[in-house]
Amino acid sequence: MAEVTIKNLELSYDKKHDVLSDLSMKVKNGELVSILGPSGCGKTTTLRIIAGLLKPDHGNILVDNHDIGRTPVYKRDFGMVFQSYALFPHLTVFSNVAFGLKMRHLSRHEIQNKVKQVLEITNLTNLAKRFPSELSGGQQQRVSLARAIVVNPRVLLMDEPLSNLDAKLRVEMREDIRSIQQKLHITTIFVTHDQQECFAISDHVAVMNHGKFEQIGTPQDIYYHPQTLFVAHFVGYENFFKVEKQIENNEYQVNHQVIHTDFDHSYEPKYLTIRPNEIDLHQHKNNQMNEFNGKVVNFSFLGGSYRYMIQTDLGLLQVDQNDKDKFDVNDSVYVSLNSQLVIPLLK
Amino acid sequence: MKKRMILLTFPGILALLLFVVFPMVQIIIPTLSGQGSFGSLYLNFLKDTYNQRIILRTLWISLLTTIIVLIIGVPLSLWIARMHHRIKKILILVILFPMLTNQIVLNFAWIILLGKNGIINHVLLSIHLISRPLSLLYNNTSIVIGSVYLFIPIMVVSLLGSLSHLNIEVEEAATVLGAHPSTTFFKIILPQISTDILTGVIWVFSWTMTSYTTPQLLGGNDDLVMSTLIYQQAMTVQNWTLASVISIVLIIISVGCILIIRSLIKLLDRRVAHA
Repeated sequence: MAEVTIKNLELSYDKKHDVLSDLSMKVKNGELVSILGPSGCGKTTTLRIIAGLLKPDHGNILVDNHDIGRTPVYKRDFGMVFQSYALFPHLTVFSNVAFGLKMRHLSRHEIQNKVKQVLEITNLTNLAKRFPSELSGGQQQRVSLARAIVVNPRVLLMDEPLSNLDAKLRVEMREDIRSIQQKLHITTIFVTHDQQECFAISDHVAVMNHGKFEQIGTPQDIYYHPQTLFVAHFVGYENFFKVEKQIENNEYQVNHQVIHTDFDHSYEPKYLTIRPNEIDLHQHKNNQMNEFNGKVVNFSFLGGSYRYMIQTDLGLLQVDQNDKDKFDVNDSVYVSLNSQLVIPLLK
Repeated sequence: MKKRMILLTFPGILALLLFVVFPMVQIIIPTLSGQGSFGSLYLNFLKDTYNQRIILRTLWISLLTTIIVLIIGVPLSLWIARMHHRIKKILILVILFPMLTNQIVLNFAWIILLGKNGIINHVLLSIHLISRPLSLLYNNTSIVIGSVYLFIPIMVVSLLGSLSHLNIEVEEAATVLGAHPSTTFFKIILPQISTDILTGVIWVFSWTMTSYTTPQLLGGNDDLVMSTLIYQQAMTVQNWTLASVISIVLIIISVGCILIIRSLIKLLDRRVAHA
C-alpha cells in the first residue's frame, strides 16, 4: 500500500521515435487508476517500466516519495497480473500462490495460512491441488490475481487481465477485482483498452495515445468532459466541428454557422463536439438555439435506436434517435444541439 | 477395422523382427550356455576386477560427459533461444556444424589440439604457464573432452525447441514476486524443461556409453572402455562370444542407468510441483 508517482517518463526504442514521451501521473494510496488506450499506444510498456521490467530513457518512478529507478524488479515488492496470466505451469495452484511468500522466506505455517486465506477470497479453495493446465481461463485469472495479492504488495499492476475472458465472465471478474482491491486497499494500476471496463472499476483514468497521456481524470470527467479530440472520439463522441473563430464569449463560428455552448470552459477551443444521442431531431422548426436545417442521407438500425446521417450546414451529422419518430431518406429535418452538451475541445 | 490396422502394422513389425529382434536373439543365445552352467560367462566376466574397472570407467566417463554437457548445454541453449531470430539461425548452424562432419575427422582435430606437441601445450609452454608438456591425450580426460564436444549439439537440439516456446512472462512473474534471476532459472525455467533435459541426458549418456570412435582414437591403450573392449575381443582376440556377453552387459547397464535417471527426474518434478 503506497502512493506511486511517475515523473516525466520517456522511452524510445530506436532513439528516433518516442514510444513514451513525458508521462507524469500520481496514484494515491489505495486508489485504482486505469491507463486506457488503443493497442500499441504504449500502456503496457508504461506498466512494464513501473514494474521494472523495462528501463526508461528518462524519468523517475517514486513509491512513497522514494525513487525506485535503481531498485531491481525482485526487490520492488510489487504484484503483477499478466495478460497471459503467466502461471507457473509446473506448479499446482497452491504452489503458484505460495511462490511469492517463499521468496519472502515466511515460515511453512504462515505460508499455509496466507495461501488458504487468499484462495478463499478468490474462490479457489477446492482447486488448490490442480495444475494451471487443468483450469479454465477465468480460474487461471483468479489464480494469477491470488498469486499477486497474497504477498500484500505495495502496488498491484494489472496488464489487461480480462482481455482473454468472454464477455460475461469479464463483467463478473471486474466486479471481483474491484471489491478485492477495495477490501485490501491496494494501490492498483490497471491497463486496459476497454472503456466500459475501465470506467466501471477505476477511481481515476489516464487516457493514453501515441505514448502520451491525453487526459487524466475521474471516469465521469473523461466521459462527460473530454478535453481532446482523441479522448472525445474514444468515449463515443462522433460529431466534431472545427472552430473557425470565436464570436462572443460562448459563441463560435463553425462552417460559417454559429454554435452556442453553455459548457463552462476557460480555454480557447479548437473543436466543438457532441454525442449522436444528444442531438435532437424533429420535423418542424422550433426556433431554438443551435437549430439547423438538414436532410436525411441514410440511416441504420442500432437496436433500440436509429442512427441517422444528416446533411446540414454544419456538415454531415450523426444523430441517434429512438424509433418514436421515424424519418426516411431525403426527409427534411431540423437538428438542435443542446448547448449544455456541446463540449469545447482543447485540441 | 481392427484387423486392417494390424495388417497395416505388418511391414513395421516384420522390419523390427528381422533387423532388431532376430540379431539380438542371435547374439544372446550363444552367450547363455557357453562352457559350463547357464549364465556362467556373464558371472565370469563380471567377477574379473579388470573388467569391473572397465565398466566403472565407462560409467564414470559417461556420467562426467553428461554432467559437463548439461552444465554447458542448458545455459547455451537458453542464450541461443533468447537471441534475435536472425542471429539465432546463425548460432544454431554454428552449433550443429560438428554434426555435419565425420566423427573421425573431429577426433583427429582433438589429437592435433591436445597432443604433446599440440597447439594447447605449445601455447601454454610459450607463455611459460607450464614447464613440461601436459599429457592431455590418450586418457580419460581426452575421451571426456571429445565426447562433450560431440554431444553438446545433441543437448542443444533437444532443449532449443521447448526453450524457444517458454512464455517469458512466466519468468517475469517470478521476478516480480521477488525471485532473484538465479532462483528464477532453477525454480521456474529448469522445471519447465525437465522432460527435454531428460531426453537430452538419455541421448548423451547412452551415446557416450556406447560410442566407439572417440574412446578408440582419443583413449589410451590401457584405458579401455566397454565399446573398445568389445572391439578388442571380437577383432583382435576373435572371441565373439565374449564380445556378445560384453554387449549385452553394456545394454543392460545403459537401460538401467536411463531408468534410474528418469525416475530421479520424475521424482524431482513431483516434489517441486507440490512443494
